[in-house]
Amino acid sequence: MLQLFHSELELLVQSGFIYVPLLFDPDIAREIQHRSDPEGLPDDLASGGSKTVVELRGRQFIRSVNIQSVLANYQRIDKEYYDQLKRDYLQKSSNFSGLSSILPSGKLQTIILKIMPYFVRKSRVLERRQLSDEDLLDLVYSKLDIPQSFFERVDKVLDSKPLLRRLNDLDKLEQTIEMPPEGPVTGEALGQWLYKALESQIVNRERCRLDQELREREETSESKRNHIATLLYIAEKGSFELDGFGFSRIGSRDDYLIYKRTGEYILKDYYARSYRFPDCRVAVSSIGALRPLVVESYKHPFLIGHAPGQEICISGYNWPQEFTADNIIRLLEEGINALLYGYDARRRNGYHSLDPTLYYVKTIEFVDYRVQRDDRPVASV
Amino acid sequence: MDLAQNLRSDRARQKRKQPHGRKVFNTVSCIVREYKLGEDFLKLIDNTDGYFSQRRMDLRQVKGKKVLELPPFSLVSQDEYRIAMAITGKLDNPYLQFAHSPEEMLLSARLYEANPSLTSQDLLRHDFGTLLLCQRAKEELADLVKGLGKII
Repeated sequence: MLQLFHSELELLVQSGFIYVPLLFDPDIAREIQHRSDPEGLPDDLASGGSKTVVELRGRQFIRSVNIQSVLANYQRIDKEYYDQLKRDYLQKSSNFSGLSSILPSGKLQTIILKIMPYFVRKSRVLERRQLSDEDLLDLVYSKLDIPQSFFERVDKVLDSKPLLRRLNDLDKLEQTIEMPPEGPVTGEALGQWLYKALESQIVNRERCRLDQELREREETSESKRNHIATLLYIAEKGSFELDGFGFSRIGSRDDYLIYKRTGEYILKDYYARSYRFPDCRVAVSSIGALRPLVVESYKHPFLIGHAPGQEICISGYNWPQEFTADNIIRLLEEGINALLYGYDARRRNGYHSLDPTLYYVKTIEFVDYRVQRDDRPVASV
Repeated sequence: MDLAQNLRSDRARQKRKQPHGRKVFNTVSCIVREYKLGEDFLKLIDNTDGYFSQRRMDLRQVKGKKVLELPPFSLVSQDEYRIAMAITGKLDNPYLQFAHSPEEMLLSARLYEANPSLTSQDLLRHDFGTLLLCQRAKEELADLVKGLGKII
């Protein structure tokens, strides 16, 4: 169909449809002959009352596509060309970056708005309901001391003046889409009309988008302003911790180490003697394989040595491949559960045993963690 | 064979897939489109004798059959359709559907006149000009043999 608009074919525009020259074979010729007979088949009409086949100066034309429909759906018909046209045309006037362009996206958005609400609670009271985005951002905002420069940046983006200026610029451009005149037309001429109509359509759509943006900005409350400043601050800083849950950026790209603190906890050995383990951060990195690991230099029966960044030994687990909020939450929970509840004193599972056995290989010792009297775990997840 | 059996076999035959036959319109319309034939060619059909007298055929002109890709169905513009139908009307002969070039279309009527018993295999494999030369050679050879018989 797109070739039609670059061809030198003689086309016909009638009743909002593009008519193309009818191609013939003996059967089609016979049918056309029947139609032209006064007693022959009546011509079936489309919903708009347009004929299927029309004759112009002895030439037969057949109805093809609706012009309005081509125009309305051109973005889907030839996305590449439409996007190119949009880019070229909108670049002619001043460039405008919306609110969405400054807000964090991708992994950081997933961490803040989807993973963090699972681990962070507003109060220590048992509450079933997870925090909403607004509640969470309010909570985060209250914990941060955001510099004034971030509020200034938000105000600059939320300022409606450039938006209004842009709308004025667009008002000066061609807006109305006039249908091509009815009658014969070449494919090339129709293509030129389509190009102009697409430009007008792009302008109209951009204007609608800006109107919507303007309305949203007018409705932006003080709390929304604070939320945006909070997100901007976290995105710039790259790390944040609240209630033992946190994350920190790895390098300069959109990759993060997401962690949850275990707090102090107690494990018992074969003889029911208690060992107090210090707090550590169980983390999952968004870069590389998705596996729970301990950030600090740490020793545990499920860690092979006493070094930072060791993977926790969890066998028979189907490791996820994709970075999603559910997968990260599950991995963090699995890692913490393994450290706190995975060790079986009777089986002495893991790389090491808490109590020195008769035949044990002296690698990692936990004697320094042993406590004289039983204590309850200090922190629990 | 009783009536029921006859009906059954008839229906079975009708249901069977039939090979797509070669149609004269397909062939002619494809040649018209390929060689952009127009009114001049129609005039040439009316004056075939003059055309072939100018181009005396001899053995040096023996050539292979031209290749022509024929689609199963052919649709052409209104003008091409008119030309194709006019050619089919003027050169109405069973060999026309095996032509692969305008020249073969012109020769088809003469070839059919000269030998109407050529098989479709021969017509598809050999150029019509070559077949016509072959036919003439055969006739001349037969005359020579006849003349030689009289002398001896």
